[in-house]
Amino acid sequence: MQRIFINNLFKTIFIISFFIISLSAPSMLMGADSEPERVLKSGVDDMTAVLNDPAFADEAQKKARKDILFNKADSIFDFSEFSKGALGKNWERFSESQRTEFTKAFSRLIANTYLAKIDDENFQDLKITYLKTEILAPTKSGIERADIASDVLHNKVVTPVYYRMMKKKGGSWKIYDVKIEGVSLVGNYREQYRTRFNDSPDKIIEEIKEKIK
Amino acid sequence: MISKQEVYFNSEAAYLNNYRYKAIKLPLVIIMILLIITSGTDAFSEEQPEGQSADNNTQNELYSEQDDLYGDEYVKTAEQSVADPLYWFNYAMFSFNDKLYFWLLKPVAQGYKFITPAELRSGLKNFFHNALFPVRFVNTILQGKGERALAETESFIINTVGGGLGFATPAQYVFGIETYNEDLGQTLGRYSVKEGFYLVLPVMGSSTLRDSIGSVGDFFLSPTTYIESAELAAGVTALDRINSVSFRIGDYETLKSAALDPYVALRDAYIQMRRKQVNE
Repeated sequence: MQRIFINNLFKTIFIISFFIISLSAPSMLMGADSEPERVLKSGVDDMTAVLNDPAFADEAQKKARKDILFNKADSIFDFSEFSKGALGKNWERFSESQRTEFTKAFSRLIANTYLAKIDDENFQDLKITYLKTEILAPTKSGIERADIASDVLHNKVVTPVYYRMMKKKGGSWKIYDVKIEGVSLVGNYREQYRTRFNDSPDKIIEEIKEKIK
Repeated sequence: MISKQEVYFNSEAAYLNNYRYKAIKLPLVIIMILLIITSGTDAFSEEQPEGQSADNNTQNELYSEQDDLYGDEYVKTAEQSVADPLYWFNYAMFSFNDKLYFWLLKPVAQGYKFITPAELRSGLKNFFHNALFPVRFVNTILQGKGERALAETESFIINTVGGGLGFATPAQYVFGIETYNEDLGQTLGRYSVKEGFYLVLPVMGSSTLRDSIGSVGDFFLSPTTYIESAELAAGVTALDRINSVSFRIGDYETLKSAALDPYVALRDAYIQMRRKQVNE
């Protein structure tokens, strides 16, 4: 008697939960991708295609692949905005040429650390799910902005990755910040540079150059 | 008619209950006291270390003239850093944990990863996640997130019954139920308890005063706490830790090599991550 009751109970729970879940499942109706999402997707697909290209599999080709990846990254990321955000108010103290120099070194630092990580891993099982795109109000000077949320599945670990994209007048959509598990890459550097107001710009540039050697 | 034996058992049960109650009472009192202290430590979190507060206004002006690409974030980040009055202690613990990772945790996790099939490792990871259901359930309830509490319960039932004690996760790959990590630190944050200050714990790693107090509370909801044999409990905890590290070998190295100041980078990453978790 009790057994039947428990069996029924499980069945009921199962059926009820099934209905609740199927009702709450996200709608299958997907609208057309917005422009920033399209740019991001094609950029990311481009890079993963290079990563999975068997032509670059052997060691000798790795250097060539790194350069191709860097160029592709350079076209989709706005490294000058990255640098500006990372330096925070220190940016004001940098001259035009120092800014260019910093941007060059900083983009290499980012690329070196993250592309090096990519280099020793197998990216066949990388799966990116784009969750939603939020178009933000443009800035006062008319820069369009969008936030794109995604889940990256790799190595059986799901990591939420958030892309912040912007489009300057006459320019194209570019990434100006990446948030991984809620941690803003640019914000993380800004915090590190926050207390560096006594160091000269040249010293700060030199420090990064030392790191990318 | 109650037999002698029953009386004996009853009194033993009563004794055990009483014993357990006493064992739990003391930590509870400590938690309450610490909670009262933290709610009064607002001063800590609003304190801007290293003379930053004076620059706040100028900073806002600077960025209002400039492009507001990051929206309010510039203003927000001016106060983003957490108070760190125990810097020297924290830095020592950070260095200790760093060595612990490179000299012990990483080599052990690498060896473990090498000899353990990936399926078993992810099964164990799922099992440990499933076993912590009480922590997530109680905290979703405490935060008034009814839907998530329901989702957690469904997920727990389906995975425990249909997934062999949670080794497999049919609730996720068949039914697509999402579960979130919830803990008492987040619940306290939800109730506007401030972080207090940054704290690096030996072995456990980054935390804040609030989150440390939270983890004491969660300790009582964690099944490993109720494993009777101390050796077994330690073994299970170590397995959980090594198993989860085996999925993330290399992440800490990347963060460290990309950072100009690894200590600050880690502190900021922890704070940013926790603030996001509290807000969602």
